[in-house]
Amino acid sequence: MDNELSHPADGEAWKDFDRKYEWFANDARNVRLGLATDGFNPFGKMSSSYSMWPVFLIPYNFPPWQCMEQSNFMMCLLIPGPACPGKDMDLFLQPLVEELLNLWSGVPTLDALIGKEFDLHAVVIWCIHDYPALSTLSGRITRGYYACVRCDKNPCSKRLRNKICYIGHRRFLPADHIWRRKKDFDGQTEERAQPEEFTQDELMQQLARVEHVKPGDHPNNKKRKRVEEGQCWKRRSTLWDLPYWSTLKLRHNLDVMHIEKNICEALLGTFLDIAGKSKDSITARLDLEDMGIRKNL
Amino acid sequence: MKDDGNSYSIPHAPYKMTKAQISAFCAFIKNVKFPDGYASNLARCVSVDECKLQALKTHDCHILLQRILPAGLRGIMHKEIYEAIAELGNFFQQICAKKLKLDVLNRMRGEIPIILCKLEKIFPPAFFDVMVHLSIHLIDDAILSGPVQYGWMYPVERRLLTLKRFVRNMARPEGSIAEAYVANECLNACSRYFDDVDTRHNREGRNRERVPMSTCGLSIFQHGANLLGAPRLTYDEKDYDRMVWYVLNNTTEVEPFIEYVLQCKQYNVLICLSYKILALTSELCTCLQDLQE
Repeated sequence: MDNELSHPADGEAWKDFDRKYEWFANDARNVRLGLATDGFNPFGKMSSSYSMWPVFLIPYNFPPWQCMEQSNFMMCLLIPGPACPGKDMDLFLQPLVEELLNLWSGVPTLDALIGKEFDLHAVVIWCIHDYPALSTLSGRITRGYYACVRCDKNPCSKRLRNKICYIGHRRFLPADHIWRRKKDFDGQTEERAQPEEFTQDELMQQLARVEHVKPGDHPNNKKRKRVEEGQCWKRRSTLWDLPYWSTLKLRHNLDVMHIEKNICEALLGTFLDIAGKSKDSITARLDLEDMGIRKNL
Repeated sequence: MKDDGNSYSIPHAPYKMTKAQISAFCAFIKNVKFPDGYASNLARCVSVDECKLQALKTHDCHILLQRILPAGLRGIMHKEIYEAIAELGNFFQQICAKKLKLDVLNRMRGEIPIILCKLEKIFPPAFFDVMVHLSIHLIDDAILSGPVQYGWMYPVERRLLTLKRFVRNMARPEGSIAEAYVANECLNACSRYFDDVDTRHNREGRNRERVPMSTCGLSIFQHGANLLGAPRLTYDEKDYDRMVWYVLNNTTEVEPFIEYVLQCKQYNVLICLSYKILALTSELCTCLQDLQE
């Protein structure tokens, strides 16, 4: 059925991959994997100075009810260390990428059903992680003005007194919407179009600019260099070495779980006015004053 | 902020609850009942003085945002706020569905900017961090990746806890995890070949939806039910009538008779139950009694 989505195979990214690599799609035995990672502290709350990063591969060739089952996860890396690996992640990923390259070119495997040997191929179709880990894994910035990974050009970030916020969602409305002319949102009318994503060429340019960034305590890394305006990537992740990586439509999933959790906590904190969790503070009111809106608050 | 000469005062904002509203909301949370296995016990999260929600797990937030907040804020908060939150909850509820529909997603693509604009009208700009903004991109992602449950962190976070439990020797956490992981994989691989032994892979779920236990051929009793908890039900005369009413109104076999009776009504003929209906109802009664036992 064209209208229904009930498995990743119904998604556009999967279908697009099939169109680009028909030879891969033609053999149903070829495996598609998701790469998941996150950090945790094995010592609980006792000592906070430890962070362990397992990397899982999750096969997607299962029916929906077996797909995300825990016993199907394959832990391929376990990265220990006192803190989050940060930009050293690439080094730790290298053995995995090497194996993935092997799997892409094909590994002779025995098909037990027909008793013949065939070349098994496998591909990583996307990564699963929370938002800070996206930056660790991919090298895309996830904080500051260019924090949104889907808005590369003209992001809707705005500087407030003590933080950066993302307002101006009127830009996503149709151009003739009546709210675009109202002044009670941020004191101004809104004419800008919605933010855009990089095209493939622009993305490659961005990555070419940061190719020299090396992991570890390289002497060149000591000094913080001035970043060019609009530079959204801070290093070229080793995942780009995979030949199919640049053709994927969706490389990094946005994690719905954490988005929901953060929104709900912010809402409850503000509603119930829980100290430390409420987004409504003196500076928040001062921001309103700066923008000249909602005079009654 | 208002300047009163020497001091400033912050006026009360509509998005903040008053003391009375907070206690009403907390009382609501305390009384919410969920189906078995649907959510954790939210009443435990309400603090002792009933003015806070604390120790919320991620899944509690998932349920709260989608189901509880829209219902709980109704009548407590201002109508505008309540509606915006309800729409946001509904948005997440639809995007977290097991099966997504493309036409619904395309419709929601137009709705989510409006919801966020409504929120922008209510909350101060400091509320809108990048996480709130990201919800606008979820639709495009869902069209690309299919249902969100294949790309979210719940199973991964569950796995992390399993790994954490593997750590027995605190001096060598990596070693313990690696050793336990290998042992676990071996056991998993073996247990998949056991057909006649109870393993975690062939264990039946706690909540079985369809248990064949029907005692008669009527469609309404076909799907069966797995009764949990109290072994004996007690109900008064009224409840019994209600059950009979429900069964009669939801059984396809009875429909032609109801239509027949309704037609009789139109022609002003005295309504008389045919023998067949009587026979059916008595059969239903026995079924009900069977169920009760």
